[in-house]
Amino acid sequence: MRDQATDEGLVLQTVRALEAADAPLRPRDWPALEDPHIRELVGGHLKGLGRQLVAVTHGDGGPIEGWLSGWSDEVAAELAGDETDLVADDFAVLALIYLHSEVLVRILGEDVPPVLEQLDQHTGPDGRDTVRGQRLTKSLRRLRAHQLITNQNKLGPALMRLTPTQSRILEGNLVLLLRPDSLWARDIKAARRPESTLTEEE
Amino acid sequence: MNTRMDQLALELARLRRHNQLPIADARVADLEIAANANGRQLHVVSTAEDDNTVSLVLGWHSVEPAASTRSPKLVRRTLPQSAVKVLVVFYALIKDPNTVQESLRLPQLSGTLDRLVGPGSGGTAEKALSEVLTAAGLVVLTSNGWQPGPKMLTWDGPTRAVMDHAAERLWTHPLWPGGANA
Repeated sequence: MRDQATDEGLVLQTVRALEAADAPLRPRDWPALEDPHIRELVGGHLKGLGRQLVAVTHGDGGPIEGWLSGWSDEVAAELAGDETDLVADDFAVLALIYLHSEVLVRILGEDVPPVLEQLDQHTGPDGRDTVRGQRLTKSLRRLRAHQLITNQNKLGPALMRLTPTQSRILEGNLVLLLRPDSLWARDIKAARRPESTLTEEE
Repeated sequence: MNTRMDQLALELARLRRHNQLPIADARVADLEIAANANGRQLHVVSTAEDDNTVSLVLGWHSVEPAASTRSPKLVRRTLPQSAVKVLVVFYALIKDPNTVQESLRLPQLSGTLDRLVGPGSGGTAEKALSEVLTAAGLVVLTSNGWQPGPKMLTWDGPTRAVMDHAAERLWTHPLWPGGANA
């Protein structure tokens, strides 16, 4: 039989660590997180704060490197509509960095030079005229402050806090942007349609 | 967001994200219970020049989890060193018993930094205040100037003790405003 008082103390200590951590809690440092029962209890407390336990893995489906907390799926959808200090320029810059990192490096697996170098080599429009000079500097600073990018202008640690559902939405957006007429895009659109609309059409 | 519990979770999430929320919009008692049950604590603070603006801030139950380089390792986000200097001098100026003041103007802070750290140091003050320290909720800009932000107002005892000690050392520095060589 488990000692509930000990469990609760351990669970709250783990919740506090997760909420304060700036890097994944490694299983060897926080063995409690290897226990599915404790993880379930931790998840319950995080849910009460609008947060969710996130496993950080090495690559898709790789071994668990550690644990973080992030916005729960329900709360993230609500917070997305809140005011933020990020402006349209910032999202444009982040999208550019995301596209280069995800499409060229992770999905296509290409060994590519840094984003700036690639853009310099590119002939024709590269989107950089939309945000430049002081506006670009400020955007990069704001994105770094939110940990969305690193000092090297790579995707930042904030993206490790995305839950599997949030990652799927982001990847779906990528497909809708790059292959809008594909079967894959059609499936994504259908899955995102409210249930009532689906019933009417099918 | 259907249940009452979901709504409380959303409000606590908003408190975390925005550093503070107006008390008028919140169900304080319910939020306090929900925060305590999950290792956090609710603080009521007045951060603006006008005391009518009272806000809620999400802090830590008892003391804040400390960073640890030993097992169990816990990495905490740190401020850049330049921002730490600005923060310590800001805190010491605000707390200086010889000049009771609730807010600071930028020239006052950058002038003190220039004297203490060296010419040009004050130039880092505006960037640190308006970006790093504001984002961290440590300072807030009001019509009267820069004031302590919600996170500074809810520091735990050990953090406050460290900052008080640093401030006391600065007050005795000969180049401190009002000091022998200022």
